[in-house]
Amino acid sequence: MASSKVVTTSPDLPRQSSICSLSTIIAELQQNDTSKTLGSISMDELLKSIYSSSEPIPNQTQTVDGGASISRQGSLSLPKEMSTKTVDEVWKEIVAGSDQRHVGMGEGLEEMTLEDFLTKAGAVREEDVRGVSTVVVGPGIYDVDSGINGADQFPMPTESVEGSSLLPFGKGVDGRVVEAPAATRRVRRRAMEEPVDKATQQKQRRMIKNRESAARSRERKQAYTVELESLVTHLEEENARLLREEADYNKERLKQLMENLIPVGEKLRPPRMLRRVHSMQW
Amino acid sequence: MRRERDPLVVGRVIGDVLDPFTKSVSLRITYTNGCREVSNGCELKPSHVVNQPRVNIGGDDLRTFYTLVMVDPDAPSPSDPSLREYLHWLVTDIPATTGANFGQEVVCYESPRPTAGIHRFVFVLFRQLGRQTVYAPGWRQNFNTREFAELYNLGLPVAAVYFNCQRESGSGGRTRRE
Repeated sequence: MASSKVVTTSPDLPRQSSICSLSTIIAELQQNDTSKTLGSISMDELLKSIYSSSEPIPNQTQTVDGGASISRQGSLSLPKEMSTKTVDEVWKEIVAGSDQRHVGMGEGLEEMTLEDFLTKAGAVREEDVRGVSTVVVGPGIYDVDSGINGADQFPMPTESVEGSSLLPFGKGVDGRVVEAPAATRRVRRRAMEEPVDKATQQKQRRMIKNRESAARSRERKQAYTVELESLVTHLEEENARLLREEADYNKERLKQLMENLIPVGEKLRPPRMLRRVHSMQW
Repeated sequence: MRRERDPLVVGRVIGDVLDPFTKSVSLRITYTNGCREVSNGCELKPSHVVNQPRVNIGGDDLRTFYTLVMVDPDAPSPSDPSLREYLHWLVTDIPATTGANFGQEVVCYESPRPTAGIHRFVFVLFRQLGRQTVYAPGWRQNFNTREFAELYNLGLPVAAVYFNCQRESGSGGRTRRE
């Protein structure tokens, strides 16, 4: 399962600590926020901010309990995950919300990390509950419509607040650009024991996978169309060029043939003799 | 929004497998099992791609050699590409203007057999600096084209093309696990 896989990228840390890192990033961002308000922040800057904020803080493993204590902890797994899963980090950044707007997301990002995020979402407490409002119509994506439709279903699950925080991500899944709302969104942590949660999580997982699959399908279709269009223009040009060449060639050939004909045409027939000189008389 | 005009970018081949490059050599791949020439994003069935295709490389100097790599970045399934990239074919020392038959087959052609989802199969052409010995990797999965190119000093690709392929019977339907 993709979600478990992402977690195992930091094998030496228990699951919860990576969740912890998620909220630590939030905390880090909050602290370092002043310089990063609003405006579009490129993915590179984001990553840099993650690393710069994570470096000075030593490794710690935590259990997921009081949100307050967790928020102060340093994040650790980042540098490790960096080499393999930078996109995951960015995704966590987005989750953290902060004041970032546009974040370019790499491919495959949504496929693993959103699932991962959602499964974690049930276990991470939300520190600030903000309205979902500004989210999103994440434009800049080719395919937002399905995201919007799907978002309606999101608030259904029992985790109401979580649903609200999931909404934007649902839309973001099928696109490469996710627009985080101006208001910060936090992840709600909640006890995992309820079986109802698992069922809805399964549903969400399936919905996400479906979205990703739909996005891939649209991508495929678009790539094919683009290819065909370029082929068409290329072939049309070639065709025109070849037709012109053929016409030129034909003209040349005709001219040459005409030149050869004329001397023959001008040759006089042998003049007629009035006297019989060519036949013999017996 | 600026419309992206390169199918390799739209299909995310550039990104998942390759870095952006400029095409400089013509590369034509034809599966003879049905006279299908591969064009970006076209769909082929596993039965069409069972045998290795005919490869036609452009260029002009027979003394320039090229390497051809064929990988599947969506192995074992596009939603969970844990084996990205799966190496299907590796031919080196192909002289310009010729085909794969004239090169050294370092990793023999393995027929694509996708089991889950719709996979992309990418052909990448690199220009070699000279004749070189290329060692086959220990296994086909988790091949990294970028690293391979760096390892053998191949630089950026000079051509690439990809096609889609899914199970003969299509990819729809629920699996039993759910």
